[in-house]
Amino acid sequence: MKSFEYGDGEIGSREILYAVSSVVIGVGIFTLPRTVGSATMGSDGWVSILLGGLVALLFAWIVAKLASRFPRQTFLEYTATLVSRPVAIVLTLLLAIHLMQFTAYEMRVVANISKIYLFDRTPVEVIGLLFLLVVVYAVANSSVGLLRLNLLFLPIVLFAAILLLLMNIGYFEPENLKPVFSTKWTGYIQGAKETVFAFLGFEILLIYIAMANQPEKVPKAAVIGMSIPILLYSFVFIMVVGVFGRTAMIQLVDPTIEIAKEVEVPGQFFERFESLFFTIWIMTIFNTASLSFGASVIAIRSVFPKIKRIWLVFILTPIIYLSGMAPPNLIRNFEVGTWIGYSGVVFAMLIPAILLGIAKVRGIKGNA
Amino acid sequence: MPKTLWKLSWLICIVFLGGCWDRVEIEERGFVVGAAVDFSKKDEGMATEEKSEERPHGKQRYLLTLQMVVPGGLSQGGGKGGGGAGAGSGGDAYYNVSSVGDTMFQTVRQLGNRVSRSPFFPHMKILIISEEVARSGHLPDIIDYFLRDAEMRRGVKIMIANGEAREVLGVNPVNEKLPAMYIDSVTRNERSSSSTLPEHLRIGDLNEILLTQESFTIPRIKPAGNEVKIGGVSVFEGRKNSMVDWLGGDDVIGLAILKGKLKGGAINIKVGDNLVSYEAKGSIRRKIEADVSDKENMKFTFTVKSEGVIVESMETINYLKDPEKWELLQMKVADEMKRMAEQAIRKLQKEMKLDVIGLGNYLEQNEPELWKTVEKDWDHGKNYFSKATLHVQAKVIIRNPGVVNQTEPIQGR
Repeated sequence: MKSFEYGDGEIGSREILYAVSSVVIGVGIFTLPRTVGSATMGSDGWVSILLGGLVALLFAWIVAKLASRFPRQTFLEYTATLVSRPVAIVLTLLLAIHLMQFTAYEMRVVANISKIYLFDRTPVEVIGLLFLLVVVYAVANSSVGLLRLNLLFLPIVLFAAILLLLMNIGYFEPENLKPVFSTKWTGYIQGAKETVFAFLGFEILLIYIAMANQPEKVPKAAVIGMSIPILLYSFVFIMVVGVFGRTAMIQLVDPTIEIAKEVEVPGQFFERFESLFFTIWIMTIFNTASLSFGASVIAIRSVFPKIKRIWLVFILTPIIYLSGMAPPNLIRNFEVGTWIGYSGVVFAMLIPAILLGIAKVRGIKGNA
Repeated sequence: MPKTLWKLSWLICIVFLGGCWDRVEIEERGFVVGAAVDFSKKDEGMATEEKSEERPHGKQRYLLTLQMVVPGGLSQGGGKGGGGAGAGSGGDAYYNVSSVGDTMFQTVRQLGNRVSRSPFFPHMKILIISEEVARSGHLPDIIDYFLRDAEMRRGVKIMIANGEAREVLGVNPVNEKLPAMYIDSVTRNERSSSSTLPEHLRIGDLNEILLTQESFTIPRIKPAGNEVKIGGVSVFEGRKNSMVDWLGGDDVIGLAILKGKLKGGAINIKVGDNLVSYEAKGSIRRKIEADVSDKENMKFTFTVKSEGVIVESMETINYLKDPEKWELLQMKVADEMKRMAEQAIRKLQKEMKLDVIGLGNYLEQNEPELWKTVEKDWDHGKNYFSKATLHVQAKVIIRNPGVVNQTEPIQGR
């Protein structure tokens, strides 16, 4: 009997679906057309995006399958049953560090781009701090609230994305898509690798599925949630290539923001669509950052249950802030992004696959 | 109640401490609507900076002119005349300021020393480059700032001035308050202007072109009293990105036909001993067929289809009863289009030997393998482009003859 559906501190499969989409849609899309376009010829990048997307989809399913095999158990608990408690503690803490770095990176990219396009004179450090403080405010409260916020934000963000695509139809030149299928297969693989990085973030499910009330529905929700960014990114890529052509696209630092700058709406009111678009996009980056920060807080508290949530948040915030602000310039920051991509591959793909393999082989199942 | 007071003081703090770091009041922004770039002349006393031998110097010194809006002048409803370079008399809706510098950015910042409102670029509409600068091959150097700075937008239209660029910004249009906005409006007239109005070029598109080795064209603008005239194009060589020559008149229409970009505009044909005017409706459709088996002699066939109406008929024709005449008219219009296209081909292929039609692009998109082998010698070196054979076929459909059949009886019957 559900007398008060939202008061129970649990989440349904719908929250999982929205969480996966929200956490994956983030800063990756800004640079994705450039990185994928550099590896592929013509407009073939969409093949790479679908390819990379399929890989991400598969592993999102594995993550969800693994976590839902142990209903209402935390990552620490089920990992401990699979690979002894000390190993589980190390893995949990490493996962928490990875998620913190992920948060820091998102914060830094938001600050960088805001600095360039919105706030010319505000120091990057201040923009980053303000963004992080809002994230902290969200994370300091319950995780369920955090997850439900996605239900509110994601539709607005998707609306902005669709608006971006529609408004650029006038600038779309089909000739720019040619030549098709002239990429070597190594190019597709290289492009797919770049794409996989942009689709990371679903490793938060390892943490959040413990709160799901219908774990058996979670894998399906994760797969659907994952498909939304895959489709969105493919469409955005095709649009960007069609508008700029590959040659110019790969020279733009953030092609997806430049495409918003391309738009000229008659009537002067929305003349600067990029500010509007980027402001809305910050909402989904906020979701990405707060979900991964929240997940790392939960992970650390599962190891040290005695620390109060709010204190833990206050301890972690300066660490996240400083590591986010550590790279001195844009190119170093991109390097950091690549490293976080690699550690994401480890935590979102390698470890869940191994753990699920162990669970299958040894036939371990959580008691529902 | 101290606790309420405590809360109240927090509230007051929130209200008064909130703010915006980047706040610039709209009154403090100097909206730039147009910019013009010339070379600086030695004798011009506009340089405000001190000379220094040790400071790095660029290859050229530029004279940058910005057109800034005077919001007061916009609302007063009057105020025409005056407002030449460097001067702004009361009542004008704009003023032009010029400064000399080695880089665009330095020059803009120098201008900031002299104007009360700091230059603000996102509303810039046009960028005009002088012919001299265009011919020198420094175009990419100039464009860089207008692309790289995040304040700039890729929709700025770029034009080459026949003569000095800043003179173009000094025209005094009769029905518009801002010359830059006036020029911007003229470029939008593509549907109801003569077909010699070249398609406008956005600075973002120019960026795409500059990144390749393609040769290209940029529209020409020249001041004519109180007005400007936009017509003709300047042809740029794609490797050095320097201007080579002008192209005007029928050649521009021919080029537009070859590129499939012709939109409207009158085409006159002679029927009997009188003229009939045809207007294409909607843009024409162009198809290229290529036979590239022989690298030394590639064959390209342009098939152009146009649909339109008769808008003026000095020759009296009974349109409703005379289907053969329609056929004849269609053929004559097609021949005229073919003539203009072939004239443009002669000029581009045999005289300038530069491919601004976009055939290289066509090959790159449709024959990527072949393109890699000819890319290096396309419109330079061995110049495969000038060795190619280009055919034009035109097909015209006249949809209707207007709302009147005959305006006078057919003579001689």
